[in-house]
Amino acid sequence: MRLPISGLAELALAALVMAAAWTRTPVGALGTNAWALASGGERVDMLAAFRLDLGDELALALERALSEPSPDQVGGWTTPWRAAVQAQLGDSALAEIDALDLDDPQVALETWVLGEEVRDRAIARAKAAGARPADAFDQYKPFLPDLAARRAEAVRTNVLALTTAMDLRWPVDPEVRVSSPFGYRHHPTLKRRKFHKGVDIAVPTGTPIAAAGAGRVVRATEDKVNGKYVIVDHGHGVRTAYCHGSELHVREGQRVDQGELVMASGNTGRSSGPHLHFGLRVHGQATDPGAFRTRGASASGALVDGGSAAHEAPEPEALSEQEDAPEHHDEAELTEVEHDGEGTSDVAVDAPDPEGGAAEDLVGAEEAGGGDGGHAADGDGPSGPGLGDPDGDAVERSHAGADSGDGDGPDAGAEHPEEGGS
Amino acid sequence: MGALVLADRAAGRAAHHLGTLGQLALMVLGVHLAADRLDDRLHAVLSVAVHAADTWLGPPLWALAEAIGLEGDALHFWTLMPLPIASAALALTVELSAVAILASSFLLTERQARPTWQRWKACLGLEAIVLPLTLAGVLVAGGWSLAMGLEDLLPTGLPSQLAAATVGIAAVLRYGLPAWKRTVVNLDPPDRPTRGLTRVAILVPIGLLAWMHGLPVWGWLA
Repeated sequence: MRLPISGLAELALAALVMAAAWTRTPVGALGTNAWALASGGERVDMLAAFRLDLGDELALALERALSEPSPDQVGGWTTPWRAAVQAQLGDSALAEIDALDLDDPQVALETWVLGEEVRDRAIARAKAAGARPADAFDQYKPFLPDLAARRAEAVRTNVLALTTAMDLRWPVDPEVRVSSPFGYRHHPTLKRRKFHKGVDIAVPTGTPIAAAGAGRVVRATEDKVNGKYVIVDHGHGVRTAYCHGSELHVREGQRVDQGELVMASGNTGRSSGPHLHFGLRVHGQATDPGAFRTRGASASGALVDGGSAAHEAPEPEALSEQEDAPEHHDEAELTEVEHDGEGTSDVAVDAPDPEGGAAEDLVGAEEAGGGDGGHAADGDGPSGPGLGDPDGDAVERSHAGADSGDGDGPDAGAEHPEEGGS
Repeated sequence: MGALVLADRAAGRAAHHLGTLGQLALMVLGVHLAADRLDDRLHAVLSVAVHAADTWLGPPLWALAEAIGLEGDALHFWTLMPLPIASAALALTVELSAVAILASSFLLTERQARPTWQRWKACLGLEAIVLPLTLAGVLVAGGWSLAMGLEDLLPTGLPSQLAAATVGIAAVLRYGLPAWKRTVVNLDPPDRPTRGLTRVAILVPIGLLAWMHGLPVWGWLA
């Protein structure tokens, strides 16, 4: 029996199927690009159907988070996760997430971003498709609408990264002077302005350098630029680097706890004086470690005994002597791409004189706001949700162009020591 | 009423001419759903492979170029392309190849195909098994993909779910089934055992993933 509108229904069905294929698949993108080629229109990225390209969103969100007042100035947070949410999304969002009254903060965050209905619907689809566990974000993400998936991925990725970064500690005594801050400076030997993608800390040779956070050592070696150096992957796109050491105390692949001795400082590589170059990368983006300095105390305050290494470390010179540590010229990262000086992070400090001025200003500012131990001293709660995410993988993968992580990053949260250890 | 009948007839004629495009679109949706999951698996495999290569062939430089300045000549060639891009590009290649293979299996055949058991047995070979099975999974996955997309556009509720499911099922019946029949009719008797091996190699992962992730029944069965 033919319905009176069967022709119209059939046409609507055909239009629906074709529109879906055109807008949701690479084949549709191919058609769009062919059309654009012929008509001079705008072309689309065929890989976009696979990847949530969050590069810009991540960069903007990170910049915004770091340009906001420090959470400990705003007050009200007790864990790195809450600090990250507050910095990333603001006070009102944190209040709304709290109002959801869900036990698992990670679930609360996802529910807040997606809405309960959309999240439940995607989980139901994942369940129907046999995904397990269906309520894990990575499992139900493919069943979310594209825009919702993109936003949730961006927020989740940033909050997890910031949570990890905000749980970091200073790798040496926080009282030690920062001799060359993050940002543009006049390079002492190249004789031109150059972006300094880390901070130089004026520690004498032999000072124990502690891991800023728990993670896995992805590099512990030596080259002629960075000297003896260590890179620790803390998971969720966060990595720290410690350069110009005199002696390495960890090996590649080793897992380290926060505060565990990784190397002794020195003057190796292209360096003209003993110091530690401390670098922080969040999703591949060089970030000022000083931006997180006021949020936590030193990791080296109570060095974790990672075996005999800590005991074998050479005794550092007396703290009073650190003030007299020779000025140095950090020449590390000579192969880095130079930035144009515009549009960089708000926290970047333009330091034309690496041996004074801005550097001392930065130290002064940090001393004014720091030293209270921040949340780390509270020891009143877990270090935040999601850090136990067994795969950290989605975080890195989502940032296709910027982070070439291999997806096997450490499960930083699972190894986080109890807070208050510093 | 007369205007409605006229419009309906005109729409019916247009829809009839759009039938093959509808079949193609449904297949494309299903292949993409499978390829999306293939991308995840390729990424996992590539991660392990690169990690192993780093371990065996040299220092683990993967991802370090962006972590710290290193001399350019110290970089391995595989650090030049981030893994997510590599896996997505591979998945895209497989997806487009699968679409081309499946489309060629039914696009050039008559639209009112009537496959028979005897004819299929006469064509029995690797392709005669893999092609219909893959296409069946892909077309059902396409219907589900369509239903999900529609459901996302509608207000949440049971009526929306029912409407979306109805559209998905209707698409599978109206476009999926004829496409599948056309493919089976279009099979050729194998002239050698390895005939179509390359096509099968491309279709197998897509077909498996379409069956595994494109059918909203496994959760209920479990």
